Amino acid sequence: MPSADPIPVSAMPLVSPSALLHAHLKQSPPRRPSNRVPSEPRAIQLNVGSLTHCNGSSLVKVGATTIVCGVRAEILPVSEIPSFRVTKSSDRNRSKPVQRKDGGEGSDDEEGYSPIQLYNLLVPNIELATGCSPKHPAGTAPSVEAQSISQRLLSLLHTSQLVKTSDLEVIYTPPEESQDLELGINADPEIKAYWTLYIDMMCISHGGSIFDAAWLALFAALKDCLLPQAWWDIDSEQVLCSAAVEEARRLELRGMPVPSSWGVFVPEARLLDMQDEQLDQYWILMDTDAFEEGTCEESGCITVDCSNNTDSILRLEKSGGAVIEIEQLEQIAGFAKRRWQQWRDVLQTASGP
Amino acid sequence: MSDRRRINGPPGTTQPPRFAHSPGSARAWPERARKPNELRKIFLQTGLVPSASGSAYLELESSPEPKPTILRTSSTIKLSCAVHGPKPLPRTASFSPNLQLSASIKFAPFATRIRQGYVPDSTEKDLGLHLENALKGVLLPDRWPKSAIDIAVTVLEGEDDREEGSRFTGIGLFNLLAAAINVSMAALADARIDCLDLLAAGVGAVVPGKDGKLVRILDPAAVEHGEILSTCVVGYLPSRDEVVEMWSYGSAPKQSDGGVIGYDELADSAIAAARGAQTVIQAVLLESVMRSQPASKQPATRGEMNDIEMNT
Repeated sequence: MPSADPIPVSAMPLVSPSALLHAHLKQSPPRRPSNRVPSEPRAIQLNVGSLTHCNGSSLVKVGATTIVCGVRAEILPVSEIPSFRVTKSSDRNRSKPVQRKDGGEGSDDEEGYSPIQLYNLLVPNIELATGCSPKHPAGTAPSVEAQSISQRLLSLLHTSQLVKTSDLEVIYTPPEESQDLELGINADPEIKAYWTLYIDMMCISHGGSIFDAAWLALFAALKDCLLPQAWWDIDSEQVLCSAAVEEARRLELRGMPVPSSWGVFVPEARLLDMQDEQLDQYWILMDTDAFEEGTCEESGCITVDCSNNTDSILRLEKSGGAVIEIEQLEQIAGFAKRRWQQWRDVLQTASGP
Repeated sequence: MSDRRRINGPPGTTQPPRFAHSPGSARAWPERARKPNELRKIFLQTGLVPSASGSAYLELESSPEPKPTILRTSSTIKLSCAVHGPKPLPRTASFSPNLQLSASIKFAPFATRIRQGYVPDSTEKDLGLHLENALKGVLLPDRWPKSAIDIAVTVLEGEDDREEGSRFTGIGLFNLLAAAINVSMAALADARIDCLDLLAAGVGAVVPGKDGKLVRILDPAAVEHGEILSTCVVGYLPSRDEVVEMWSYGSAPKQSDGGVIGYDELADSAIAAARGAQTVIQAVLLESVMRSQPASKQPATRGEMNDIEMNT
C-alpha cells in the first residue's frame, strides 16, 4: 500500500544526495540542482564601506554564502617588538621619506622575509561560530574548518604579497639641525612604528566555498581600507594621527588574486546502469555549494591572477580522489579565469553606502 | 594571551591610533533632532541564512553625519540572528520535559570603536542572560520535550557613545539588548515556532531638557545626549500586556510627583517604544508570509531544486 504522503522535495537532499545529484547531472545538457551548468559560478554581490568603526569593510554574498569583513588598523611601535632588526630594504624605494614612490610593482619587490611576515602585521581570522549553519553552533571555539580557512588566507596573503610593507610604515625624519657628524648622530629617516591590520571575517551564512567568499571579502575590504596620516611626535614620543579624510591614504594592492574552488562528482557504483559502458564517468563542478561539497570526495582550489594581461597561477590545491589529470587542470584554469573576470566586473561596480 | 586556534597578531601589543587635536577637527557631538516620542528607523529582514531554521537581520539606522572624518561616530546598530532547532538533546544531556533554550550574543571584533578580540567577556554573557530571560517569557517550552533550541545573535556594528569606552555600558547596552530581543523574535517567527505573542523591546530614558526640566524620551541614542539620568529597557508582550524582561539603571523615585518623573513613567516610555517596534516586526513578518504563500500553491516551483524524475 503506497503512503498517502509522498516524500517532500526538500527532503531529497537528505535521503540520497548522491542519487539526486547524479539524476540532475546526467541530463543532456547536464544541470546542477541549483540550475547551473557544471562550470558556472554563482553570482557575487558586494557592498563596501558599510561598517562605521572599520578602516575598511565589505559584505560579500556568493549564492547562499554571506561573509562580512572588517579591517581595523592599529599602531605597533617598534619598541614593542622584542627582536626588532633595523632593515633598510624599503628605504631604497624612497626618493624622499615623506612621499612614496609611484613606480611599478617591480621596484617594490621585497627580498627575504618582509616585516609583514616577521612581525605578523596582517592578522586574518574568520569566525564560523555565528550560527551560520547547523554544523557550526554559536559560542564554540574555532573549528578545524575555521582554523584551516584562516591559515589558508594568511598563506595566500603572504604568497601573493598583496600588501606593501611601505604602506604600513610610520617613518620619522629628524630635522637637519639635529645632525652632528662629530658626535655620530645622523639624520637618517628611521621606522618608528608599523600599522597592523586586523582582518576579521564573520560568516553569516554558510553556503559552500567559504574560502573563496572569504578571500573576496578580504580583498574588497583591503581595497576599501583607509589609513589615516600618521607621524611620530617627538615631544610626546608616540604616534599621532590626523582625523582628516583628505590626508588619509588607501592601500596599494599588488595584483588581484581570485581563488576558485571546484569539486569532482563521481557517481556511486550502484547508480550506474550496467548496460552503460561509461564506467568512469565524472563531472567537474566549479564553485560548489554546501550540498555539492558534501557529495564530492575530490575537491581543490586554484588561485589565478590575470592582472596586467598576464595569466599566472599563484596556488593550486587538490585533495581526495584520483580523477583529475593535467588536461582537466587546464580546463579548470580556464574556468578560474572566467571567475577572475566576473570578480573584476563586480569590483568595478561595487556600491558604497 | 596567545590563542592557539587563531592567528595571533604581532608579538608586542598594538595600540589603537591616537588622533591629534587640531582646531579643524574639534569634535561636535550630534544632538537629538527627533521628537521625544519618535523612534529611529528600523530595517528588518528575515530569511537570510537558508540553512538555519529561522534568521533575521535588523538595522537601527541613524542620521547621516554632516562632515566626513576618520573618527566617525554613529548610533547605528546592525545585528544578525540565526535560530537552529528545535533539535533533539544530545545523549549526554539529562532528561527534561521542557524545551531547553540557549541564547547568546556575540560581538564582532570590529563592532566597537576600540577593537576587541574574540574572547567573550562579561558584557556578552550579561546580554545573553537577559536575552534568554526575555525569550523564555514568549516560548511554550512544553511543546517540545527533550529538545533544544539555539539562538545566536551577532553584533556587526554596535552603538557608539560619547565616552571612550571599549564595550558599552548604560544606554548603548540597553539599545543593543532591545535590538537583540527584536531580531530574535523575528527569527523565531521566521522559524515558525509557536510563541505566546509577538515580543518586542524598547528603551526609555529621562534626560535633562533645554530649560532645565526633565524630559522623557523614547529610543535614546547614547551619542546624542551628554547626560542621561535614568534609563530602562523593557521586553513587552503587547496583546497580553505583559512585561517579560526589565532592566534599568540610574536613579528615579517610585512614583511621579509634581515635576519629578518617576519609575512608572520611565517604564511607560519603554513600553511605548516597544509598541512602536512591534508594529515594524509585525509588518515585516506579514510581508514575508505573503511572499512565501503563493509559492506553496505551485509545487513545481517549490524551492531552488528542480523537480525531475530520478531513475535509479
